[in-house]
Amino acid sequence: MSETADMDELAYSSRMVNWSPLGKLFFVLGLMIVGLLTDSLIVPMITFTIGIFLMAYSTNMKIPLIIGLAIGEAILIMILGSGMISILGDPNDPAFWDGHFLWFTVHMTEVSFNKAWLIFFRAIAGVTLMLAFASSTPIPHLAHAFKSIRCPPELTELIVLIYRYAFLLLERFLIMIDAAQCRLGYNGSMTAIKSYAGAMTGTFIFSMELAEKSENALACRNYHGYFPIFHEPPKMSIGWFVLTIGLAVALFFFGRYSAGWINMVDVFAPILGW
Amino acid sequence: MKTAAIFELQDVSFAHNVNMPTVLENFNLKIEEGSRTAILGANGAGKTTMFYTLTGVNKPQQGQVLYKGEPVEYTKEGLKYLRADAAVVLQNPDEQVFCSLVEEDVAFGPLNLDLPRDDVERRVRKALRDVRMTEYARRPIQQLSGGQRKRVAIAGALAMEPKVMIMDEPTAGLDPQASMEVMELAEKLHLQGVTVMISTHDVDLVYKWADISSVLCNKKVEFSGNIDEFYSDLERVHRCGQLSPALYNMNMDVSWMNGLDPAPFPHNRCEFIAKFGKNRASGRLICVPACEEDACQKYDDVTKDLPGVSVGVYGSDSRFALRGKDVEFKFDAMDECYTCAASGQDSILIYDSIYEETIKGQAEKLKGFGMDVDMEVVR
Repeated sequence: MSETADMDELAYSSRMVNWSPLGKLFFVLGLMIVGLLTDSLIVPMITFTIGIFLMAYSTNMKIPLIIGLAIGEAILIMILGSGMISILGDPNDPAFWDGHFLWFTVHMTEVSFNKAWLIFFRAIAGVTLMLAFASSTPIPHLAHAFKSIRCPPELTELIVLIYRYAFLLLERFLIMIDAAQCRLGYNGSMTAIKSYAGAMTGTFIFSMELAEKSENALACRNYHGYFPIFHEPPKMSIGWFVLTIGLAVALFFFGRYSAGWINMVDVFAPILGW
Repeated sequence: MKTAAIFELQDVSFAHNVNMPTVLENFNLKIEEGSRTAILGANGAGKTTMFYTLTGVNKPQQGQVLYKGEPVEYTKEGLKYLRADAAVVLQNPDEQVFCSLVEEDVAFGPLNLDLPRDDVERRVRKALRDVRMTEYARRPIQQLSGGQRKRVAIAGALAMEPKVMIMDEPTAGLDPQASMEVMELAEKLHLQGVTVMISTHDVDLVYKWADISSVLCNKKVEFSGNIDEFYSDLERVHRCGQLSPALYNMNMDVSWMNGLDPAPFPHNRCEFIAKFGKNRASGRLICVPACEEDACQKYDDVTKDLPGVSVGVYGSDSRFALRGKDVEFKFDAMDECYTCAASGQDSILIYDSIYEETIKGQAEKLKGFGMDVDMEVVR
């Protein structure tokens, strides 16, 4: 089954599917922004916890393997990025780890180490919050929500069409790759390059054909530029607004109050002997 | 009585692009209202292009398309009116089915017509019920098999409650049982007054179903009418990339061997047996019109009195109701039960009430083959 099917299935079976898409989007964006506005490590930790909880609730703890792997990959990339930030501290500040590591001149300072952790928590909080949203909101619902806030219909139409056909084309490309493999298409590096190029060209040509066929099929069904929804999701209520603003304001002031409460150097010093 | 044409293509020429060769050229065809029309033709003969031309997707460069006697208007309103009446089921359901969920996709067409929500819900429920996909309403399309996707595509067209149903190779890629179900559905639509057009390469399947067959060849309509006339010219059949149905060939051979006139042409097995069978005394055919709610009760009542008699079921509602029962002919049961009767055996045919006209019509046709079926209707 394709990635699109996985995401669709996950979204439609979510316990949060009947929550207002705009409300959910407003809520997760509000928490992400407040995480960026404060220097406290505790606020992104809280928003990360909220994101994890929402994702667990949304998926009923049944996250498909492919999405689990995607989360794992994202966390790995963030660890690498944060690691880079932590070792590239200000050369004027005193370092508790100084030297060379692979191609890098390491200068890890207290400030760079704490900044790396802050960025890491902000990033994973953002990922979990957005995944909680994505795993509970089918794309047609999102497009419908955008339409309700007077987004240009061309934009919402594009969102739905790209979402629907991008994965179909990817699947087609993979089928072509498999077909080439069956005919020894990877026997030698030049042949492999030719096979990949052929598959890409084939996918491009197929995309033209698919576009034409889909346009005809949609026309036959009286499509006139908007994808209607049979079971419309609820609109954003005032409750979402109050909840998001209230929580964001509370976290913002708590963040200002709690800035510097946690120093990650103190946490790791006994373990790493700094 | 001459029937009015619901669609008419008059000297239509169409090319996908001005620099490309024409796909249809001086193309003339009339589709009679309420008819069962089969469209035959080799690959690339222009069947799909013709369907798209009928529904206004393709605008002919020359000639005109008439719908109910009026030229098709290629305006937004004109096309909306046309497509509200003429629904298309495409050959590949993956090209047609767009939405993620079954019921969302079935509702797509009616919602585009801006119908009231209650009406859309009623149509979706009915369409899913007609194709027996009610229990899959909230399932993602990607979880369905090819046959189920085809049914969803058909349900999407049914939900439009069309006056004309155009089905482009509806049995392609389906197993034989699913093909039979599609043909039953086509028959049901015909009985509801819908004009049904089917394009197919399965000549055996449409030979027993269609009133009129049109054969496309070299961008034109090579033949339109009673298909037996077309098959009598073998050179023409081959030139059009066609082959005659097995039943037609058998009739020709057996008639020749027995020194008989090939006419009347049997179009199904029971007619063939009635024509050539040695047993001229009909078996009894107990016809039981039913619905989903009372089919089981009627089955129990009728089989209690006639133990050991073969039972056939015709129509999706009755078939669904009797799925756990001992039924000998689950598909193509009308032909099977009449074949029993023609060969002197008794049988019971339980069918959805809507098919009554078809069932009785078959008995009338058999009289033309010298067989007066001993038929009893149990209500």
